Parts: sequence; structure tokens; C-alpha cells
Amino acid sequence: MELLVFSILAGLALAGAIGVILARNPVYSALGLLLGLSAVAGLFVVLWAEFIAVVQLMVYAGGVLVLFLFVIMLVDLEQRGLDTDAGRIGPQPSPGWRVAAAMLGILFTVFVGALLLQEPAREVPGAGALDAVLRGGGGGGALGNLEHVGQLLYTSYLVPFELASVLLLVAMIGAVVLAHRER
Amino acid sequence: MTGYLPIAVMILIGAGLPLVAFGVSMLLAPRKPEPLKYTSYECGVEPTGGVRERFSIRYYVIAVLFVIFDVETIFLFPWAVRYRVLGWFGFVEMALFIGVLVLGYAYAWKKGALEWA
Amino acid sequence: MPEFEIQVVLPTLVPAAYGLLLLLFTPALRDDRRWLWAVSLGGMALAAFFPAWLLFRAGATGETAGLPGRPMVVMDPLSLWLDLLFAIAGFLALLLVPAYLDRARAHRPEIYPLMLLAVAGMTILVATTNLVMIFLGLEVLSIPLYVMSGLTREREASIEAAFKYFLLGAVAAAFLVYGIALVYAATGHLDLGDVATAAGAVLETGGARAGLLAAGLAMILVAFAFKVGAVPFHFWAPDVYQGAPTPVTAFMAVGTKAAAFGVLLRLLPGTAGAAEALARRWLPVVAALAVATMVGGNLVALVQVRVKRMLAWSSIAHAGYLLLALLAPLAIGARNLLFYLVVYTFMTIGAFAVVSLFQEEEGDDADQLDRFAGLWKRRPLLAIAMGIFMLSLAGIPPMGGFTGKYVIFVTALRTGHPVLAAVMGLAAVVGAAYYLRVITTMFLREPSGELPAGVSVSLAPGLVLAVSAVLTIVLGLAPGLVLGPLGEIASGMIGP
Repeated sequence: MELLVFSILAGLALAGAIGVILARNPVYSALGLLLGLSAVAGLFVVLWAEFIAVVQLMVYAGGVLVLFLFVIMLVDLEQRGLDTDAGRIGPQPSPGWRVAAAMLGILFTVFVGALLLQEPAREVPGAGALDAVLRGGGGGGALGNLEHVGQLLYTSYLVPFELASVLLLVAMIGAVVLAHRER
Repeated sequence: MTGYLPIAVMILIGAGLPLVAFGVSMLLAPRKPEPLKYTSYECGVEPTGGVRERFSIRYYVIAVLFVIFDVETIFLFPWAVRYRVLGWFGFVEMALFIGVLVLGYAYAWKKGALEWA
Repeated sequence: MPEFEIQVVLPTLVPAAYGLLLLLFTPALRDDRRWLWAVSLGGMALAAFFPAWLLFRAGATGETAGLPGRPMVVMDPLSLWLDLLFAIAGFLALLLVPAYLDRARAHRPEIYPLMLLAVAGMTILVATTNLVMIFLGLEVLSIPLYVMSGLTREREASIEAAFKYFLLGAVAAAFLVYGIALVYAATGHLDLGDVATAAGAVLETGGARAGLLAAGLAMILVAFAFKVGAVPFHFWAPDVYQGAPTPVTAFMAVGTKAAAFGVLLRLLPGTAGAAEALARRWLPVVAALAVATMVGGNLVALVQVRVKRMLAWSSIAHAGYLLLALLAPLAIGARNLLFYLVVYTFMTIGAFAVVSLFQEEEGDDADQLDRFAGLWKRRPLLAIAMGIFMLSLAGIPPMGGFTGKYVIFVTALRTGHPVLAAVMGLAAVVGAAYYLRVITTMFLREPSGELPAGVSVSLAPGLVLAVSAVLTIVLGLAPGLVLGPLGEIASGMIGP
């Protein structure tokens, strides 16, 4: 059952990813990305990381993707001929480079994938506290997934949490400084 | 994971309905294309130009701000469910977190990044 | 609830809090730039004061937050020294900012809080042993730098710099996160101490998990190779350094490098300390990077006709020397590395300050080497200052740059890397050629074409030049002043 669900979701994620790079129309690319991101959210559910799944949907599918669509709308595609077959961004790499890049990507994926398959993560000895969170959700412990995340994030991971706010703030300033037109 | 079965069923139905509806109409409906059928209906306005209207860059800043506060909201959920345990410590933590972001919000506001005109 | 020691986070808290408060005032005080500048200088001075104060008190160590025994923030002499260095670099760069922005007509007061926040990011990066914190620190440091690179957005080069830096920085961040994930998959830990312990066991048993660990560490190394601009991950550096506002270039050339090498000091030897097998794996990789970087950086710098771009390539070459220092046993390698970073800070900021002065006067294309012709006759003091920086960067005694190169060279020779030492010697000789070309242009060539009104040096940039030049010479004449304490720090680093 788990394998079946995983296969369907992984297939959808792959299909979405392939759609992103193959679609000529950038809006279709963005929709492919939406499919991929949502499927990955499903994969998180299979892994019992429900909180991460919700984050994935809210932030990526809901937020980042909207941003992508905005950017697509910001650029005058027709004027630059980007939504036709004629032109894509920048000079085209030669076919040799494309093949080499694709080979490298596939090789690396197979390499890491093979290693991961041989060594399932749950067999790691003395796994840390984060692992306990993931298990807590599935193992039916006293606390649910969300509670576990909350407990860890707001005690042990307090400093990274506060840092995240600074990081978000810096991103905000960056957007305003670089994109805002002063009058 | 069986708890997610209803959601899976929902997704299947949601994806299936339009597929069935369009599929059936494609199979059953008669097709006789005529130029007149492609004109605006009744008192509709004749379209001019493409649908790809260019947005103002101003919206971009708004969209980025949206994503940032979206992420902020995410952090509130695990905090809220553990609030009783975390107590004042947790309150101060979250106050600092939100305080920093409010600072950014005030900055963007004062800078006029939120103005439409 | 966890114990929290405020003093451990002070070096980060001070610049961060200062930056945040300053940010609040930037929209209101848009027309009162001098005031913002002065306050940010004060913040940077405080950011330098606290690490110095903690450092010179006895027992300047501490750790706080996180799981028991697995702190999120650590404070030790290494982090405090680097914190001090970041704040000094930030202070000197800030001194150059107003004059440059005035000339560029880009009055964006955000540069002041952003500079402070970038310093805060750097201090996080070097004051943690947790991989999550390392990622966050790198981002808090990098994003302000992307923005500052594009601050003079009236110039296309500046936008290009910001865009390139951001894209390649994002790639580096992706490498880092992927690497961290793989390391976690292999060891089940995020704290470097735990990772090192687990790595020992993992490597002993070998198999798939050892492969994952190696892949993960390699990706983390790639991420930092990007950040320090090591060949072949350097291709962003020349355009970014060239396009960014010159004070920002000076700051990031120095600050990012120091921060990234601070992490590498914790990461690579720290992990290897517990697992000799791992050290054997990464040492050849770092050696290869060092050779490629030293040779590549120096050779390409040789043909540059613009001084700013030449300095960018030279900065790549210097990353190569620093990588070489990383290869030595920790106690001596860390000392050499830190000393070189200190010298590098002053000579590099000084050199960029001269470029900045030229650009203030004559626009951004004023860094052509030809413009430096006959500088000796026009502005003797400026020519002497630039001469000092060039001699130091070339590694000619009695400048600080010589001492820095010398200790790295000798250490490489003595610790069984004679070939690498030879490569470094050759690369440095090639490098000397282009630095000396600047000197001959300034001192021997006649001023060509129309003589510009001459470069005027106002108080703040003058201070930068004076401080940098004096310290570059002092570090050359009396290296023991700094080498001694750094040696103690380095020998204290070999611990559990």
C-alpha cells in the first residue's frame, strides 16, 4: 500500500518536474511545478512528516508559486519572443553540453539514490532528536507531529528560530530596496 | 495513513469530475465550427491586444511580502499547540520573532512599498 | 526551559539589534544620511568592542542554547577573533560608503543596516557547530551582500553583479543543504561533534553510508568553495566584484572569505580529528582546489587591464593560499590561516579603498590601469599607500603579506607538501608581476592624456588608507604581535 502510494506520488512529482523543463509556455512550467510540489507534499505525508507537508503546500504551492506567476507576468514575454519557439533566455548551450549535463545529473541521482536505497535512514544508529520527531508522528507517541516540532523548535532550536525571522526580514528589505521605485 | 483516505478520494473526485465532464462533452457533442461562433457573445466587448497584460513591478514587492508573512504564519502553528507548555518563555520568543518581522513591515510601509497609487 | 547565556550571543546580538533598529529609521532619515552613517559606525564599533572585550577577559569560552551538550551557539577564541575581524572590515568599508554613494548618486541608506546584518550573519557562521545554524548564518550573511551588490541599480553592472551573485549563491546554498541532508542521512546528526563521532564508526564499516557521508561532505565543501571563490567555483567572482559598489566589494572580499574559512576550520579538521580515514579523503580534494585556485587566479589576473577586476582575480588567488593553509595540521594551519586573514583584510580593503577614491572622482570606469599612470606625481601619498598594498599583496618583505605567505609556504614544506609549496611559490611569483605592474605604472609612467583634476582624499577614506597601510607594515615588521596569540588559539583548538 505504502509502496503504491509512494509510486503514484513520485511519478506525479517526476511528471511535474519534467513538465517544468519541457513546457514552452512559462505559465505551463509553473503549473508543472505546482504538480511537482504538491506531489512532494504527498510524499511528506507518506513519511509521516505531516507538518512539513502542510508547510510545503502553504509556502511552496501557495506562496512561492504565486510569486513565480507574478514574475512571469512581470516580464513582457511577447515582446521578447520568449513564449514562442524562437527564443528562450540567453544563448543556447550546445547539444554536447546538454547531454553532458543530463548525464551528470542522472549519474548523480542514481549514485545518491542507490546509496540511500541500500541504507534506509531509519537504520541509522543513535539517530538524533529530529528523527524522534519523525517517528513520534507515526509511532503513535504521546505527542503528535506538530507538537513534537513545536517542542523542539521553541526550546532546543530557539536560536535558529529567531534567526529565521532575521533572515525573513533581510529578504524583505532586499525586495523593497531592489524592486521598489522611489517617487 | 488511512486517515488520509478521504483526502485521496476527494483529490480523485476533484480531478476526475472535469476530466469526465470534458471527455463526455467531447465524445457526445456535435462539432460544427463556424466563424460566427468565435465572436463575442451578445453585448460582449471585442477583445483588443493579448491577454498577457504586463504587471507593474510594484506587485512583486507585495508578493514577496506575502510569501514572507506566509512563512511567518507557518511558525505560529507548532507554537500555538505547545503554548501551554512553553508558557512565558514561548511567549517572549514569539514576541521577538514577530517583533522583528513587524519591524520589517513598518520599514516597508514607511518606504511606501505598500502604496498602490 | 533551556539555559540561555546572553554573553555568548553578544557578538551576534549587537550588530543584529543595531541593524534592526537602524532599519526602522532609514525611511524617516532618508535626507539625513550623515547621521545614519555615524550611528552605523557606532554600531560597528560596538560590534568590534564586545568580541575584543570577551576575548581579552580570561576564559573567553562558552556555549548556549540547544540540546544538552550540543549547543547551537559556541563562543571560543576562534569565533571572537573572527568576529573582531568582521567588525573591523565592516567599519573600514562603512567609512568608504558615503563618498562613493554620493558620487554614484545612489542614496540608499539601507546599506548601513544591511552591512550590520551581514556582519551578524558572519558572526553566526563562525560561532556554531550545528549544521542548521551554519546554513542560516550563511544565508543571513549572503542576502544582505546580494542586495548591497545591486545597490547602485542605476548601473547595469551593479544589477548584473547582484543577479549573478544571487543565482550562484542560491546554487551554493542548494549544495550546502543537500550536503547537510546527506550527512544527516549517513550519521543521523546535525551537530559537528556528533557527526565526527558517528563518521568514525561509519567509515570503519564502510559501505553505502560511508559513500553518503563522503558525498555530503563533498557538497558542503563545494558550497564553501563557491563562497570563497575557489577555482573551479569562482566564475561569479570577477563580475560580482567588478559590478558591486567598491566599498561593498572590499567588505565582501574580506568578510565572506574570513567567515567561510572560519567554518571550514571547524568543519574539515573537526571532522577529520575524529576520523583519520575521512581526512585522507578530503585532503587531496582541498589540495586540488588550492592548486587550481592559486594557479588559475594568478594567471588570469595577469592579463587584466582594470584594477578592480585584477583585484578580484587576485582575491581568488589568495583564496588558494588560504586553502593551502587549511591542509596543514590544525594547530599550525589555523594559526597561519587566521594570520593571513588578518593581513589580507587590511591590504585588500586598502587596495579597494584606492580604487574607490578613483571612482569617486571620475566614475566607475576610472579603475583602468592607465588612469593610475603617474599617480606618484599627482598624489604622492596615495601612490605610496597603493604601493604598500600592492607590495603586500605580492608578498614582498617587509610587508605583512610576505609574512603571511611565508608561514604558509614554510608550513606546507615542512608538513610534507613540497609540491604544493612549490606551486604556491611559482604562483606567487607570477602574481607579483601584476601587482608590480601597478607600481611601475604609478611611479615610472608619465601621466597620460588629459590630466584629471586629481584625486582628493577626504577624512574618512584617508583614515582607511592610513590604518590599512600602517597595519600592513606593522604586521610585516612585527608579526609576532598577532602570530603569538593566534598560535595559542590554534593550539587550543585541538580538543574534543
